[in-house]
Amino acid sequence: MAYHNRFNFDDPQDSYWNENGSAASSIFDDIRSKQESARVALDDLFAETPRPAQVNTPKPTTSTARPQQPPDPNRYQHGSGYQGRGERPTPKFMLNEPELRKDVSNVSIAPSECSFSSLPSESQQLDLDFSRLRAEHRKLQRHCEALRADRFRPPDISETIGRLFKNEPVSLDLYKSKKDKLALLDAAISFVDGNVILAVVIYIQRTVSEAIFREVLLERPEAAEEYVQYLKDWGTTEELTNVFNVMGRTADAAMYDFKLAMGAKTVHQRMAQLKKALVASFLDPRLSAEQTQIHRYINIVDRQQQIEVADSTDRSKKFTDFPRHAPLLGQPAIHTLYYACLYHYDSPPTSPDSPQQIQDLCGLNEKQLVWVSVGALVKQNRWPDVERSLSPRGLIGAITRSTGANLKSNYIPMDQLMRLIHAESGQPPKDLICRLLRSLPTPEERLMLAEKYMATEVVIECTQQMKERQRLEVYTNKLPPHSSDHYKALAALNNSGAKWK
Amino acid sequence: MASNYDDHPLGLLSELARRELVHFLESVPGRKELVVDSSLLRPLDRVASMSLLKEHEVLGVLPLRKNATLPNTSDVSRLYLTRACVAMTKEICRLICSDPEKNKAIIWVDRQLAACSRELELQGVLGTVIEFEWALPFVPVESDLFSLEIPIEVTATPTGDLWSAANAIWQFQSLYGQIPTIYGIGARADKAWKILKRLYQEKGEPRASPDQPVSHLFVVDRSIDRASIYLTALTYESLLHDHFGISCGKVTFGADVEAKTQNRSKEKPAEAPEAPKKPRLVLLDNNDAVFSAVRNNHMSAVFPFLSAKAKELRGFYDQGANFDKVSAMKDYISNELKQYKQQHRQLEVHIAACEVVLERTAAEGTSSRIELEHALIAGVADLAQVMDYAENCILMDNSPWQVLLFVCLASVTNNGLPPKLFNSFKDQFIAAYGIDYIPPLHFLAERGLITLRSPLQTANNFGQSLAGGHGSNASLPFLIKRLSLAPSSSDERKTGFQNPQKMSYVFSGAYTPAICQVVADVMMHGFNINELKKTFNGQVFAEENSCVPAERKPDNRMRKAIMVFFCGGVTYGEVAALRLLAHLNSFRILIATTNIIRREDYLKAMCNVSLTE
Repeated sequence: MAYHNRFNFDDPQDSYWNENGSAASSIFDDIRSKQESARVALDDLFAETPRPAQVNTPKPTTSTARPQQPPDPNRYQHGSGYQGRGERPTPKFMLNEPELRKDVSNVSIAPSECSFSSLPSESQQLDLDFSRLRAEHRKLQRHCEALRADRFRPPDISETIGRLFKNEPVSLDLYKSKKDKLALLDAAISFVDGNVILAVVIYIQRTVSEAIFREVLLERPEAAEEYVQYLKDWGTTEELTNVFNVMGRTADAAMYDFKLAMGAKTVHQRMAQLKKALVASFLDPRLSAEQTQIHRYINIVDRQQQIEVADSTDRSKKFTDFPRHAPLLGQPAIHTLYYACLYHYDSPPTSPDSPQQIQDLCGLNEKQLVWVSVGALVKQNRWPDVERSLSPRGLIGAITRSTGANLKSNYIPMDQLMRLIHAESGQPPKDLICRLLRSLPTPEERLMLAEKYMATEVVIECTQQMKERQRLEVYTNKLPPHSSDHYKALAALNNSGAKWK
Repeated sequence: MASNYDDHPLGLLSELARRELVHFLESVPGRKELVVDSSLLRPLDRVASMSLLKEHEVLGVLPLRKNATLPNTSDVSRLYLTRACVAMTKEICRLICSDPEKNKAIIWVDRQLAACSRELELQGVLGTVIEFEWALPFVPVESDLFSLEIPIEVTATPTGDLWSAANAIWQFQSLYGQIPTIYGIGARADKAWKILKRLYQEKGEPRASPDQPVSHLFVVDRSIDRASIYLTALTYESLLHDHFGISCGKVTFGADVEAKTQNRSKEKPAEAPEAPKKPRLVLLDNNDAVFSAVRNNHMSAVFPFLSAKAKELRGFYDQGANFDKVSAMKDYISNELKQYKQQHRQLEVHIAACEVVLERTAAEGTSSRIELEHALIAGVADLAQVMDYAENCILMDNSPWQVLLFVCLASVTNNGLPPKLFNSFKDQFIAAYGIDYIPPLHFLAERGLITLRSPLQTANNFGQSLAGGHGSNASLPFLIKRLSLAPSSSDERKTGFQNPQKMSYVFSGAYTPAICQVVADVMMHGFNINELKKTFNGQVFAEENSCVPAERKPDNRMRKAIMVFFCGGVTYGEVAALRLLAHLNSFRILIATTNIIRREDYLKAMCNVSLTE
């Protein structure tokens, strides 16, 4: 309200023009009297110059109202405006410089002492000045009124958005109507800048009902995208899933529900929340695969709980040989299977902790079972079982095993199988390696792996087959001297029966 | 203030940023400490050295981390330097509220955001702190590589990095003058350009200047070519980045490399067994003579070079033993020996790093992966075999992100996977790595990276266009054909990685990065906007600010550089390819980017997974 008080033009005593007298009361006193006398003289002479009424009328009121008032800043302001336009010395200026005041008074007095002909033009000048200033005053007054009225009227939308873009302070609260808000949002979207869009979106979210806000988001994907990003950053999952659901992005909503559920501290809480999420958000037919996976996981965890209870009291040797590092609970399917292969490989196939049961439960395929069980069996150095799990099931498998024929791995590529059975503490029997390697189709592949894994017999066979004596020599040199492999290799090199190149 | 940055390319940018920072430091009187968002530590170091900060009464630089407490120092003002993001703002609010009496200020890198200012307001911090905005310019990573170092999570959002990108280009133009010719390709480039236009309106249009070092600017959307990310680039630098993560030209090798270098330097066995040694930071730039020679080499050419270099050094050392005169010996020791010693050390580090990279790639079976990748790009791969390999990788317990990268490539090269393979892959992936990976797989599908080849795809695409227009890109097989990115015959590719003549060498000749190919085409034949519009779904623009028509090809006699700005990140493979292009055509190419992509991190960002998980 200070502004209002200061510039109330309606109040005569605040207006400069009304104040003119009061200012003059201290400064222009003598000038005014001289001027008055001059004018009287003028009127006497011509009796035709029009005299503005206002000049005289306010004088008595203001001069009595504030005769000795010290100069206040308002007056300076007006004075300076006055100076700029009217090219007359300001009151402030004159207050500080008494000599100048004298000068001015001399000038003002001048007309009365001047030549006769100059007098009318001087007075016209005064009138002209006056009317010009009055026009100026009116203009400024109008402008000021307009500004005052505009304070609470929303500024131009493009200006507001421009200020937002430049990060300058701006108030959005004046855009009250829905139409304005939407126009504001559209202007923001046309700026492309995410920050501007978000600023407007937050404002709209704050000021309209939820239903309207949702509608706005639905119609303007750019705005929705910014809002979603904002909520993600903010970490408010509930609102986020709401927004997704409203926008028809149920899959996204389900994912965030799911993430929230997985964030639960204990496995039990997690299970409870997952079950809830399954019912609440995973209804979309497009998410049926995910739904199955979660169901399966819940079943696995149930089974893991049973196994965990049974095994925690078990003090048998395998648990001391391979101490458990982490609790089984919550582990993925493959890890559960590995666990079963490591500790419960010999359980009857119907027992809930047997690998076969776990495989069924988790919906794992044969490849996964073979791969994982080989890994677990190698760790326990159970080579016959490794062989059994690699060979095909049923009668054919039994025959190949008993005859010691080549063993073929259907599921695991040979280089990976080799790495698997040489992993960690694995010391596979040479015979097994040789039989595995012999199943490879080309001698070149066989030789490469045989050299790498020191399967001397296979190296000898292959080099002989490929007639590469030199390669065998190189290999022989790498073997530790006086080992049986070394002797074998030497014997092969010295064998005169073999045909080298 | 004397500065040695003036002779650097685009040095004015850093200089300006430095002065601005000093101004902020001086606006907070007294001693102060700088608390810096950890992603900004290295860029800050590139712009303002510690000694400069010390000159302006900065006692120390502390990293701003989640839930970390800061040492309590009285009488010291605290300046927070951070990118505007909600998480960091929350953190700052927490710190400020815990010590409200302290004199503090926040320097927002690039700008203050509405979301952050709301957080400050909510926490009641707004008004109690002084806020500054500091526009971080292109950080010079190398003399031809400039990065804004925007975190990858931000560049993965639809509009997060656009303003910063546009502002950086504006900043550059305001200092060096308007760039005469500008080309833009891709949706993101288009958006950045719209923002730049607004900046012209608000901040003023740059004036043309004869000293402008850049004659042509390409603004390119990263997402028009994702294959360059999924494919394994085999240049030394990009392998180092994949395995160790180069950040702002610096790398911390893991313990295995450290161990190898220590084994080699047997002269000093005493200092070896100090367990919790701080990992050594190695600066990788052209001042490292060994690195500058091999950084862009194909991996197959790196070891020959390193061993030749080792022999050469051996020769120099031997030379030292054969001096007759004492003065010559003295000269040798004082001048050359030091240099050789240094090269020796560098050689040691790089050989160790190479070995570790090779060991790791061998363990993951990378060679068969690369073969399959090449088959996929050439369009001759058997998808069943490809997915079988992916399954093996899963069972081998390889990094899930590497598996996903590989499958992404399989999906984009085939316009999606057939339902049977897709579902079985999903099941096996979840079975091995846990159901935590359900959301990532979902987001990958949504962004069109691993998708189902089925009628449902159209529905997915609809969702994508809502989610930020990722679906509007041209498909990879189409691009490969149209820009002839893959060699026509297999003999063509297996030649000359030692002394490459084609940009495709970064992917062992199997694929030319699409963006680099576009730049090369323009360089050779000029900018044909209609053809490019057909290639990139019409999201192409050209703007000429000089009398030279935009269609005309750039001229290297003008001695002006071409700048390629990657909106959304660049890979080191592309950097190497562009360097080769510049070298072969005697052009100067400046590469500017929002960030340098490490492919695992890129994929994580695409899956909305935070990088620390």
